[in-house]
Amino acid sequence: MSTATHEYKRLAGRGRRKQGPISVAAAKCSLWVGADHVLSVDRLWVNEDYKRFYFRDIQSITIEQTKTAMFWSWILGTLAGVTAIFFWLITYNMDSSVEHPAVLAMGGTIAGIFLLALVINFLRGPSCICRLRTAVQTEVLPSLGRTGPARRALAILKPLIEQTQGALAHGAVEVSIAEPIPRVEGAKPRAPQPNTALEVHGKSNGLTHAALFAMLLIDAVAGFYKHSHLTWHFYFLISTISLLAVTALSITALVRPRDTVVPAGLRGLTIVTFIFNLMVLFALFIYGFISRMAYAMQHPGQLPSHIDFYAMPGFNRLSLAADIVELGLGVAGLIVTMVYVYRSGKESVPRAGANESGVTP
Amino acid sequence: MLACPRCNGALPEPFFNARDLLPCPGCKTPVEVEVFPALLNAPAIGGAGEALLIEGESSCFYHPEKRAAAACDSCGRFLCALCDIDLNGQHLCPACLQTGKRKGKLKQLENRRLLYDSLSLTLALAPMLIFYFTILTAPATIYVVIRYAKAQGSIVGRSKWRMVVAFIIAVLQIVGWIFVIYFIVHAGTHRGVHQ
Repeated sequence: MSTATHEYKRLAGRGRRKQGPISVAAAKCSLWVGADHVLSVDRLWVNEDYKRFYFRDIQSITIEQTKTAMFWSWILGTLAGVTAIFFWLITYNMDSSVEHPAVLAMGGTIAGIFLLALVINFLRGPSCICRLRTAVQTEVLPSLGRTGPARRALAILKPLIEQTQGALAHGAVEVSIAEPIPRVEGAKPRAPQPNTALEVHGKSNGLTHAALFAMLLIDAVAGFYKHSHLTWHFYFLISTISLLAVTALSITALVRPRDTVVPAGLRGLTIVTFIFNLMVLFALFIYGFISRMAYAMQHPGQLPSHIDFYAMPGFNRLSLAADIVELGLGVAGLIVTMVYVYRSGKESVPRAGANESGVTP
Repeated sequence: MLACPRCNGALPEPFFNARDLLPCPGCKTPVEVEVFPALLNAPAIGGAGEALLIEGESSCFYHPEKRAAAACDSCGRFLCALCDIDLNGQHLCPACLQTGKRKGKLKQLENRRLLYDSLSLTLALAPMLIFYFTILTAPATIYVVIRYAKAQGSIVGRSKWRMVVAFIIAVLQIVGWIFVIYFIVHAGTHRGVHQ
């Protein structure tokens, strides 16, 4: 709890509500408790929007734990680690004429920023989506985006709601499920609630995943060929195209299946591929930056005509390691995708002689 | 009745008010669900208003053929069950509700406010990126601060420090411009004297 006001008391937590998939600004959200209602405040620029949820109307509050915080921890940790290793590698192999402490300090600062963000993310605890349901709407409460503040808020709100509505008797919900709810005259009957996830969500055809892992394999094979034929300059064109294609395909594969069911293993492999690809892109950016900086230090006043990555210290070893990882991810991903496609194809084809309920006579 | 927010599969009874995150049987996502008695209430059915039976009986202002069920707390007109709007124990007619919302008299219905303190601070700070604009925005900031000093701020209440800071910045900007104009004019006249 933070600052108290005349009418409202603020609940812990802060968050932002995006206005769309590509939004310039996101509204700052906060949650306040009034005498008989919860007030959700969305502040955007110089405007405040209010939504009131009266205690007597609140039907349920749901906390769904998500992996967003863990995902960011991985990203930030990886970025901190990769930055630290790269700067160390550069200074380790660097010509003694170049100032090591300055490069190390720069690397340390960048890695430190990532590390600080990682610590803050870790201290904020696991992420979640908190939803408040009334008879007419279900509202996401972005300010309760972490399980800690969400549960603290729930502990404050529950007694207030129960004071208004009374406590729910044990087993009352179960009894209510068994009894049909009286319908409003003239209202259309609602569609029955599905029981399983598979009934609601469609299935991914696996094409995006297959293309993603195939592209990864192509890049790995091209990389291996380049290691044995160092003069093959065409590789950089293939590598650039495949890196961009892998990024686009992995984003598509991660975003598109929101309404489909993709096995956890395949989704995990896609996430790992996406992170790995980001690391490779980041590494190339850092190598490019460092090489230009080193060239400028050694040849003051001159601009490099091109960057020869293979002439840089440590690049060959790292490139080979990346190709091996790509090969492993590509093969594993293709196998998992094929198994998934085979299984889902088998499930969707009805067995001969099976009746409507799926029971073979 | 209640479904998993992720997979939309129905959640079994042990999930409700368990006071812990439990894995959903369908997608294994940890979910905590707190349910309240309002969930079990049937949807409220609004009254249509009863027809008049006795001659001379009080009738609704808007529906003369319907029996009056309540009087509007704002204008005092008789209302039938259909026209009677219950707003936190207050009985209001549709016209008073609309007027009250439009004029901001019914705080419960207020769903948006313009924050003049944030507006004045933005007006004072943002143009400093391209400082030429401050010659116009500084007086505008002072106008906003003076004109809306007593205007309602955020509904959740917050201090007016933004307005004070905006006012100080705007005054400093104006003082700065006065100095700039003075030096330009002074330098021009000085050069004219020497020539």
